[in-house]
Amino acid sequence: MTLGPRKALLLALGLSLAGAVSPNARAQTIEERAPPALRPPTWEVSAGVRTMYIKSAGFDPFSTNDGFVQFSLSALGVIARRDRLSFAVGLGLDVGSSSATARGAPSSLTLTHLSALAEGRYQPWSRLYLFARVAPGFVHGTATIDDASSPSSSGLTAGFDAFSLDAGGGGAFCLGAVGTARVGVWLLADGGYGWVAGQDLVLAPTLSADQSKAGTLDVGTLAPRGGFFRVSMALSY
Amino acid sequence: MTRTTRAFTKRLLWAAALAVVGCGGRGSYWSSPIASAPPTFNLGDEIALVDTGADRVVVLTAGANQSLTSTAIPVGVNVLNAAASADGTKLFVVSGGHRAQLGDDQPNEWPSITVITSGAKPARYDLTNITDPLAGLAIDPAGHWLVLYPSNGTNQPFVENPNELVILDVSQPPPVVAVPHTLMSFGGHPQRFTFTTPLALPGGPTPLLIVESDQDLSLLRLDDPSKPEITVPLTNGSDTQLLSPAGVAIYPGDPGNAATGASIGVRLANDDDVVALQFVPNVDASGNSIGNGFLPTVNLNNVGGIASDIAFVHTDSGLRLAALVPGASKATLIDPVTSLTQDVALPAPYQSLSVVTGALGSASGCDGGTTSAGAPTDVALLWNGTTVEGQAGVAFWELGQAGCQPYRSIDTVGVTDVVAAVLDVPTPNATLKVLQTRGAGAFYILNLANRTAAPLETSSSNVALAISPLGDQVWSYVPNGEAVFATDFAHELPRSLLIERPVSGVYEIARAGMTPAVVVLHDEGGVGATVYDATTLDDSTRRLYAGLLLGGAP
Repeated sequence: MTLGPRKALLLALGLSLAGAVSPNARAQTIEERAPPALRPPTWEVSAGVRTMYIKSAGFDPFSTNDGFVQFSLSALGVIARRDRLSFAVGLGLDVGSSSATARGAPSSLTLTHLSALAEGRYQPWSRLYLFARVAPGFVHGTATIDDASSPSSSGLTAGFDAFSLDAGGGGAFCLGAVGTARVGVWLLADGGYGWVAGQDLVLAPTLSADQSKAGTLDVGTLAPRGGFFRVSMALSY
Repeated sequence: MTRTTRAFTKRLLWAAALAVVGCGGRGSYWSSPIASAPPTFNLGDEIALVDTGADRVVVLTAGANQSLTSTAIPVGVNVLNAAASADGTKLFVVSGGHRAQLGDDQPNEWPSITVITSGAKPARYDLTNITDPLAGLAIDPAGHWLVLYPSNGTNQPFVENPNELVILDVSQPPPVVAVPHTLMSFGGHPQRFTFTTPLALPGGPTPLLIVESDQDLSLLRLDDPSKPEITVPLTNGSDTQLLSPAGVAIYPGDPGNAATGASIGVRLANDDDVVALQFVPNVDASGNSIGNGFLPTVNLNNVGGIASDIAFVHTDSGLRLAALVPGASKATLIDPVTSLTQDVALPAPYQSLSVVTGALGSASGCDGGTTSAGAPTDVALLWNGTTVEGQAGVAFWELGQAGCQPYRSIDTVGVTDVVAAVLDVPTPNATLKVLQTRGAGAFYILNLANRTAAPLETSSSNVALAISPLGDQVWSYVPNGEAVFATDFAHELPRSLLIERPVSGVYEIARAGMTPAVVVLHDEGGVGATVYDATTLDDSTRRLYAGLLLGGAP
């Protein structure tokens, strides 16, 4: 028998899903008989607020303080579990911007941080687990100073891409379950240090075809790294 | 989730978001304002912008491909004044300093003067013997001395003595102790300061500081400011009216010839007299010097009207003090020794006089005369001769009889606009002058050698001019407009730049190993610039900069 590419793909997906849920099939049966809804999370999506303290002088044009707030999303799945220990992997996305005035000129900095998450968990109690996380990733930044002396209406801009590495840990507390779907609601808090390579911020006006005529403005080195903490809400299954 | 849990969670999330409010701060630099129209100076191969809000001077240098590099030089806090030396190579910045109050985060700082020289390390002179800043600044053209004096600007002390001076020798590297000196006051307020070269005085060559107040004249030895100054009260002797000096002219004398000592001429704002000072020794019976070692002798010379300008000139009769008397359309030549005067009728009421002999050199066969003693005679340019158009506003005044012009002849030039200023042109075109008119929509390139004046007409009467340091062209522009033209002296051919932002200034600066660049500044926001190659004026290679005062954060 031969399978077409589409059928092969569907089969692989079905096997994959079966493999993913099969370890828990028996537990689901038991829980249907006697719920408590709480159980070690296998799949988890979270949304929260991540605040990073950037001490770099290059951040000063874009903020009146050292805090940089981002909206944080993550999705993790447990791929290994033994007793109270588990290991999860996933993806994280942190998006945020800061704005201020730089000597009277409106300025803004936007950072988009996409990272791969590797997380080890220890769950001493069904409503609580502790975790340690390492997150190598990638940061894309855009800096803008809208100075009146700019020859273009878009102001002065600079963009950069850089590798990042976050390391930290935290805890999650289960606040309860949603309905009978055994979807847990968790409050997560974590902190750590996020490292990003320093970037020389050289801004220039956008002159399209005449970009070669654009002079640059060096506002120093931005190292968007520092300690961070994050509070988020998660749904787990 | 219980209500309590939800409330707790909500508070925790808010706390996370708001925790940034109290965390850290940024340097004061980014919150400091950028002053409108920052003082800007052309230092030859760099442009200096005084950034008062950030207590610094931003120096711009031009490189290849019209690149512009900015370097921030910190100066003392509380910038009060800035001025460049006469030759434009040094910038002097006066800072008031800061007196730290109890618990003040900002440290105590003395008033100071920062000297910025192109291509050299800045020198900072702390004025540790004065507490309150003096904002007035007078600079010795020779670059040797600085004088600080009270001014009427902001940040001046509650109580100030208008006759208080602080003299600083900036020819020495710091630290240098400033010398305070209070002028003996007869009620006057200092108005102008004039530094002399070493004058041939009875005690030997001596540099003087001449202080014109509103009613007298003071002479202070710069080589020893601790000595009391000599005050020359100005009265005409016939009544009690106080006479106000309106300008001085200096003849340094010949140190090698005792017979030709120094002279100082003083014109008065409210009297028909012109004062001539000469100097005699002040010694005791044993020949020992008393006081400064010299005393001035005062000669009043009535010129028949209020003199608008004076200058020492060499005529074929010897040294004379020439005074222009526009009220009588004449000039008066005064013998500073005998006080004999001789009037010369002028065809127009010229108000300004410039001796152009040095600029002429040997370019013209019409000068180069000599006095009977063999000294060269002068040629003077008379200008500002009319307040209405259609009259001859510029003339040459020959003060010698040799050459192709008769003795003391007046040769008018066909400039019929009101001339407001005469701009010098550097070598190799020193025989040219650029005449700036007032409200006429034109400027002129005056050739001293052949005595022609080429008009350059402008569509606006509000025109600013800047002479190329290389002496090869003149830049003309409309302040806050978008028109900039370069007119080369070789062909008198105007060429325009393509400027797309309002212009606040045009500065031509040298580049190492390259043709010079011209930097057109735009006083908007953080100050922008358009940079051209000053020789090719090629639009395709120009570069546009913005936020020049945003970079270089400390």
